[in-house]
Amino acid sequence: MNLNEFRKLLGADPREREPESQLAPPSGPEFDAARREAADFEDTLHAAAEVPAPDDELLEHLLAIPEQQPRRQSHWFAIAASVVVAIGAAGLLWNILRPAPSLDEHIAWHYALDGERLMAMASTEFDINKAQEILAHFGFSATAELQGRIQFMKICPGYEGESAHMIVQTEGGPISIFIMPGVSGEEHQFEFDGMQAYLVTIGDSMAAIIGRPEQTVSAYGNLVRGALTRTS
Amino acid sequence: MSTESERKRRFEGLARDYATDLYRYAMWICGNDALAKDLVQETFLRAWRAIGSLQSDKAAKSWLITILRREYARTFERKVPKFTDIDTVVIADEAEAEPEDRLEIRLLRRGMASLPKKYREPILLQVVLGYSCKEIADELGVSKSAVMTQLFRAREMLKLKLQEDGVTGYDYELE
Repeated sequence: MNLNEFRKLLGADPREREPESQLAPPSGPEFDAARREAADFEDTLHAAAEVPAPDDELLEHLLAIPEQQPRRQSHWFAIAASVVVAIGAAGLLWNILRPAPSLDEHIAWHYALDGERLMAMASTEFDINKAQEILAHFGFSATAELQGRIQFMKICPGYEGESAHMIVQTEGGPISIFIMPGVSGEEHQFEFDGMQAYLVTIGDSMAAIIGRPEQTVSAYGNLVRGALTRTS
Repeated sequence: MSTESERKRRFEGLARDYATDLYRYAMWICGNDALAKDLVQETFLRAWRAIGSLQSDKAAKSWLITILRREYARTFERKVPKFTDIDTVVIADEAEAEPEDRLEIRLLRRGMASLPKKYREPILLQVVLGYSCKEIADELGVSKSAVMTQLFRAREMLKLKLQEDGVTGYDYELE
């Protein structure tokens, strides 16, 4: 193996762990210098790739998954579910191939992504301090009444950057609210996947109120407008 | 122990063993903390539903990474804006590094994030997850020799990026 071949091999396997590297490794001053150079670069590359571990909350959410999901169903139910998933996947593929989504499409996608899962995580024991932190992160504050109704909240991907996703208890049952900072548009109502969404303007931002059709989410428009204030 | 509780125990073991690795990898491909966490949660949700199909726990990591990559391609890749939080999320860890090293690390991070997918995927699997070339080849469905070429070229692109930005520690050229 000449020096160029060795450098190519080091480029793929700088720590010489592959069988190709361990089979008769070449030696000599030039090879040793190439090894040192590759090792230095690799140390920097690994430092650059380092990502801090996630907070404990992620593991808590993962460990809660079995409790939130239904137990194993019958064989025939599984087959039927597979067909539904396949149809859904085809629909998603069709969606993926489409150009940039509209705000309505984004909201439908976001809800399909984690709407039901977060709904299942809602609890009266949710730490309101966390909700206040997230609201402050986006430059919002909420009235005490709204804070008392929040049963879950997290930061999610948004239409333009990030958004806040919260589950709020109402007399008609829990509803989801996406707060989308910096997003502008017309207030309107639309339906998707058996759900109803009502978009309201809050200062320079918008919020989507999402619930089942019988929950008449438009009725919560004034509540949301009055309960959220842009602070920065 | 019932089958259901065994299934749950196995799932919890996977979550405890691999959540951090999956999150780190997800951060690199999503570039955003919230999105990475969603992707990891979706991955484990699918893993829970399909855990019976995992033959051996030795294959669990690659099984989970495959689910994560598919989930990202299926649901996330073209649906959300490109985030670059990866550029800021790690900065706190650099506090102890020398200024020159910090610059190099930042440039490399940006370089990795901007590599074409063909080169970024194998180098992330190798550097972030510690995959061997054979494991990368299996994951990406290409030959091992193709993976080794992609890894070599990825590093060459990153070194070139450093040179272009004035960090000249790696200035040899292959004949």
